[in-house]
This record gives sequence, structure tokens and C-alpha cells, in this order.
Amino acid sequence: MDYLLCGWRVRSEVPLPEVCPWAGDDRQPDITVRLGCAPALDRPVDVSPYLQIGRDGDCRLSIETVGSFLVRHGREVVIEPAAASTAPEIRLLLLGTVLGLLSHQRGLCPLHASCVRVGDAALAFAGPSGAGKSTFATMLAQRGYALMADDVCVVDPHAAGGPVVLPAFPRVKLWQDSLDALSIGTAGLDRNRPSQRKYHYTLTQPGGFAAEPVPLRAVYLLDDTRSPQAEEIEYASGFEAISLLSGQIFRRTAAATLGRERELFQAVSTLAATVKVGRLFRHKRMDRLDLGAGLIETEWVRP
Amino acid sequence: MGPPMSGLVLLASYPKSGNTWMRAFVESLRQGGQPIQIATLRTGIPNIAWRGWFGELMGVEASDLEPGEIARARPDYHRRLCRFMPGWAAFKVHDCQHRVEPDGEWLFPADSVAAVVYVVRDPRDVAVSLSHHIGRPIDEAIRRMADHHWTASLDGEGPASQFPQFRSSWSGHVESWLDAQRYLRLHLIRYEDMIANPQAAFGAVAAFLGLDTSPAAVAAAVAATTFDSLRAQEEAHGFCERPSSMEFFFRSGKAGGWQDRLSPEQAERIVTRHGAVMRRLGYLP
Repeated sequence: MDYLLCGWRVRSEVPLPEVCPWAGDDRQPDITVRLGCAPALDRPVDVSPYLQIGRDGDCRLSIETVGSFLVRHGREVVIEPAAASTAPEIRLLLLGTVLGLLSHQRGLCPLHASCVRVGDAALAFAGPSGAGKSTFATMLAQRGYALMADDVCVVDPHAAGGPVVLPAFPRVKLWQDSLDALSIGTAGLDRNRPSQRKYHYTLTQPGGFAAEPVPLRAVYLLDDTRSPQAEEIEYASGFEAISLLSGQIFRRTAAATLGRERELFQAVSTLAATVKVGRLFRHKRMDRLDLGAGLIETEWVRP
Repeated sequence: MGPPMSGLVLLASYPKSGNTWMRAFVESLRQGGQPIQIATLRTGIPNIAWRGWFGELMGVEASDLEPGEIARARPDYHRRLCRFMPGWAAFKVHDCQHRVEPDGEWLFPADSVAAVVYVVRDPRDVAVSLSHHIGRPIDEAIRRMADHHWTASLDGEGPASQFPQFRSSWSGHVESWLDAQRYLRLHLIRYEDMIANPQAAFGAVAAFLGLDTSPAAVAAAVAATTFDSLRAQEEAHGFCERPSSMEFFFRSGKAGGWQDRLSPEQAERIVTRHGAVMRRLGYLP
């Protein structure tokens, strides 16, 4: 089965129900995903106990209870599932870390961010795990803006008309408290990991997902370190913007091992010069979600 | 600043034992005794169990791992953190030092740690403070301090911002760190001594950590981080680490307050459970 992921034609032996089916031309697949042996790499650099990078840029991600993933040349993924793994767990890693590694191998710039389209602008909401990226993006999706990415936002910084976001898939990962706040029931939803009350939710409403690339206009870091009376945005410029953006690159340590440091610095400098970069100071409280969303609308929705 | 030390600097304690005060002092001293913004403590000397860096350093988000997987990965994570931050890197720690698996590695392996400042406080005062912190009756705090299975910061309906932290009982926590002196450089300091003679107590910490030990610098950092000044900042600007159950994080800042707050029976229950360790620390004759 072939899928459309970040503009690529992905041929996958593993069903990916959350990814849009390929409906484009009859080009050869850009990426193939198959089941097979994913043996340890020869003399790798250990990024961590989970992630090794070979001299030739091959990457191997391995989690004992889920499986091993060999990621090659930005073109091929070989998956060796662990005996006890579930399909959602395999997709969790494939559409997370593996997607990030593929992006790096393909010379792109993945951000640790969720993204929505507001008008003709792609807005990315970045932040560390737990910052509320998925919740915030889903909130905006419920207000009628199309989702473009959750957690891994792949940016092509060198696209002809300026940096664009390559849309991933209309699935978000949400914890129970966020689902409750967004009035989404958990019936039929896959769990992220068996013991977690974190679920995979696919947006199905028409227009809920933007399948075409959209120019990236802003990157906001969701920040709850300040406790403002009202939600506020503080834009950064120059080196501060570059530094803020650098911190949002997904799997930056792995990318550095892949030898991408200089390339990514240039990418981030390009982004800082062409898109707005700022911190969105907010209270991480469900009852104030709409205030942050309202602030974004004030910035980007012209009456 | 300070001599080159290889490894993480841990400011460790059981909760509610003066850790935040210690962090404030160390931050101030490192800035030459300047007043510090308490809001910057969360990033200046963050909790080592904060999940935010895990994904970058390990290649997988902690929120995509099961609790047992995170627990087993943490010793290695601490080594990576240590390599990732080659300069001064100080962290707050509320974990009990323990082996992450039977016969497994220590949570904080010796090759990842440069120095540990372990702050200890009379458990009778801890009980009063913990009761305020968790917004529960004192009996509940006493029960929790006796629970040698206590693990904090487990995911619930939402994600925890920190890794699950095995705390053990108050006695278990203290003993785990005192025993760690066999393989870690550790300086034990009592909250009560920080109150009674801050210049001497904090001066010893400065010397231990290789920071500025000049009496003027230590005095300035002590003065910049008195209870009154920390409380005044919180009253003016709030404190991001305050639990919603507390009116103020910086609540009392006294030693021996338990005598007015615990019933004789409650105090006795703590002594019965923790007497051996209390004696070892001079809290009982």
C-alpha cells in the first residue's frame, strides 16, 4: 500500500491507517517500509542505548519491547518487530523518531513541534515533551484550522518560494486530560503504550488536515515558565531567534552525529530570517487553552 | 567558576528539607552573591528528573516509554547528561539513590557524579512541611514518610513533567545517600545548621563545591537568599514551583516548628519509625 507522507510516496508493508493514501502520479516510491531483519550496525556511534548511527549514515533505533528499525539513506526503513509489540507501538516509533531520522537523512529540518495552517500560513508550536503542543494544535484544529503535523514537523528550509512545512498525517497523541478538555471520547482509540492513558486520535472532519505544503510563517515555543496575567507572545530576532529555533530541532543530537551541524545552522539561520520566532507564554491549564488560541487568531486571522 | 569538576553536581534531599534554599544559595554564590530571581531556579538548577532533555539525549521521548523502561535507562541517561554538559551542571534531586534493577546499576553511577550536597532536616519538621505541600493532613504526610515504596511523579490522566521518582521512606532516602558516601563525593548538611549558623554551614558547601569561599562572597549569597527575601519575591511575583495546594512555597523557614504543630502522639510515631536514622543525625539524644 502506498501513502502520502510529507510529500513523499511511501510504499509500506506495514499498514499506516493514520496516513493519507497516495493519490498522486505513478512515480516510483520515494521511501519503502518493509518488515525484515534489522541487525546491529557495524562499528556504530552510539547516540544512546536506543539509537545507533553507522559510519555511512545508517541509523538503527531499537527498543527491546517494541522492535528494531533500520533507517537507510532517507529511502528505506526495515522493521523487525519485537514478539510482544503492538501495531500502534510500531507506528508510534515509525511516525516519530524514524520520521525525524528520515528527514535528517533527506537534508530537511524536522522541528519538535505540532503545526496547523491558519489562512495561508503554517504555524508551528514547539516545545519539549509535555509542553502541550498536541493539545494546542488539536484545539486550533477544532476551531477550524487544518492540522499539518503533530510532534514532528518536517520543514523544507530551501523550498523555491521560501521555507515550507511538509504535511505529515492527521493523527495526534493526546493524554486523557487533554481528550477530556477537548471533548474527545477514548472509545476505539489506540493507546500510545499499554500502561499509558495517552491515546492516538485521528482527525476525520473534512478539511481537518492540510495535505499540501504550506509556507512556514511562525514558530512559537510554548513556554509556561512565566506566569503572566494574560497569555502573551514575545518575539525574538537575530541570534536569539536562531538560538531558540536550534533548540527545537527534532533529534538534533542524532543529526549532529550524522554530520549535519553546519547544514542545520544554515537552515535555522534561513528560518530565523524568514519566519516569525517567539515564545508563547501561557498557563498550562486546560481551562485557559482557548485564550492562547485566541491570541494566535488575533495575530494571524484578518477580519 | 569553580575548579574543573567532571560530572554532575547534585543538590539532593528528601522533599521539604531545604533544597530550594540550597539551590538559591548556590546560584547566588555563583553570581558573586547577587540577588537571584527565584523563577530562574527551575532552569538554573533544574530537577534532574525533568523529562525535557531525554528525547534529545536518548533518541526516544520519555513519554513514549513505559515507566520500567525509563527507570532502567536513567543511569545511562545521567552519563549522557554529564557529557552533554561538560561545564558546571548542577541539579536538584529528590530521588532515593538505589539500584535500578536487582544487581543493576546505581541510579546515579559514580562516573556521572562530581559531587553531592545532601541536605537533611528533622523529619518532624518535614512532616509539617510535607503536609502543607501535598495539601493533606499531617497524618497522611507521616504515613507517606514511612512508606518505603513511595514513588512520586507517575503519569496519570496527563503526563508527568518529571520521570517517576522512587523516594522510599524518609529513613530509606537518607540512608541511601549516606551509604552512597562509599563511592560518591558527598557533603552532608543539616537544615538546622543552615538556620543556626548560615555563614559556617554555607561556607562549607562553597568549599566542598569549589566555589568562592571568601567570607564576603558567602555572606552576600547568604544575605541574598534569606527566607524573608525569597518569600518577598514570591509574594511579589509568585513562584513557578509552588504546588497549587500551598498559598506560599516559602512558608515558614524555621527549625523546630513541629513542637507547636505535631501532637505528642504524631511526634512519637515519627520517632518510632525513624528513630535510628534520627539518632545518627543528632535529632535524638
